[in-house]
Amino acid sequence: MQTPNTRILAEISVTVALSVILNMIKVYSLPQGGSITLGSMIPLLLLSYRRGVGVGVYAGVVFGLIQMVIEGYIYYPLQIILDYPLAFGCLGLAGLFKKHQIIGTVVALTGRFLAHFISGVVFFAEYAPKEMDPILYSAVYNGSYIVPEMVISCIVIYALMKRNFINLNP
Amino acid sequence: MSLLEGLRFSRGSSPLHDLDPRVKFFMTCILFVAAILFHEFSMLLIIFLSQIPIIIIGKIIKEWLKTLKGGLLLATMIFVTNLVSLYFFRGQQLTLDMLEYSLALTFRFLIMITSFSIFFLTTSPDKLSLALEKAQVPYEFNFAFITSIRFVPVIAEEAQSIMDAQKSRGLELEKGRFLSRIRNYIPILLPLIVNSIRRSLELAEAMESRAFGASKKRTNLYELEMSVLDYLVLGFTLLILIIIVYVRFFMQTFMPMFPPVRIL
Repeated sequence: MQTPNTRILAEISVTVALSVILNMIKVYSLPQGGSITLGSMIPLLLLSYRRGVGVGVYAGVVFGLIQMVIEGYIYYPLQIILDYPLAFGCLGLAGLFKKHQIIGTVVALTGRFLAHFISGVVFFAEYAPKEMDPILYSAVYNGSYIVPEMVISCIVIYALMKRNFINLNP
Repeated sequence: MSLLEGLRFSRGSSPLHDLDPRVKFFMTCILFVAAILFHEFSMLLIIFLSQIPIIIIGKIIKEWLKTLKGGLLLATMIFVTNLVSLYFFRGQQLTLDMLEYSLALTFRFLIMITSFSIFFLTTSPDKLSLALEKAQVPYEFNFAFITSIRFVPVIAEEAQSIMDAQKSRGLELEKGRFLSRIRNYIPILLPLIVNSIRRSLELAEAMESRAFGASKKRTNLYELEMSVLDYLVLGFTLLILIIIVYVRFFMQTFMPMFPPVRIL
């Protein structure tokens, strides 16, 4: 008999690795350089529904740290924390909406958007001159890849749930 | 394999790679603080140039240039927006010291990128985990971090073979409009998720069979120990810190290199 702790740890590890891989598969490249990935948030969201908020946030933070080591867009201490562990930790919020997965997806990705948005504002405020308004730029830039990502995640999660593909009650 | 391209963790060997991760992190922080403390172009340039020998010792020139390329767009943006706004808000004239100020901000940014790449490019995930453990981070977190990294290449290979298999059955990935493209990717996503669930079960069984979590007190095969070189580097870094603080707070360094001569 497996202890639940070991089982959960194994699930976190594999889920995070899967998310990292999905994040590398680009479905569509946006004109301004950003790209939409193959629903890299889906495994993390499914784990949140299955194991609750705590495990979801945990996995999100681990994912963020690994993304940080791999991608390495490291510019500023506050930006690191906001853009990596915190932004992806927000995905765990999906665990609050176990019965309404679509709402959960929207909430989780909105949380991620907020973290990137604040990071953009804070980070650019450090460099941008006082007269420039960084808020609008940050919102547009981050929205341009989070919204399509949200659409993809909703479609795929809806399809998965409709077919009763994954047991959310372990 | 295009997928595995981004997975190369630094597995090189150099004096910098062998340095204790805690010392290295301290060094990174000092470089970072130095960049924040100064805002004269001359000082920032000196700090930037002093980072280059470290990079050469660490044999990470290629990776570092790649990082710089990634940050180039932002660096240019910082330079241009600062220059343009100074131009318009200081009576529509361009002077040499404006140019210097913008360049200084750009170099501060480059120093920050470099100091963090020095740490992350030369610290393997294993050492990072050991350092985290020494910093009292819970072992479960460490374990999840390290196992995930270990699983990334495995799952990448699997994703690649699933993609190849579906392509050989006639699945077209690079065609169609937005929605049909997403639909085309579903036959790849589903087997990947199913396989991953199976894999997590196997992993849990393997962990159990090796008595994971059975003993409360864990020991490591490799222990982090400070060598003589580590202490030397630590002492040197502390010396640099003292010099930086002295120069910044007890010497008058607020002198621009260029006089405010109008050039445009």
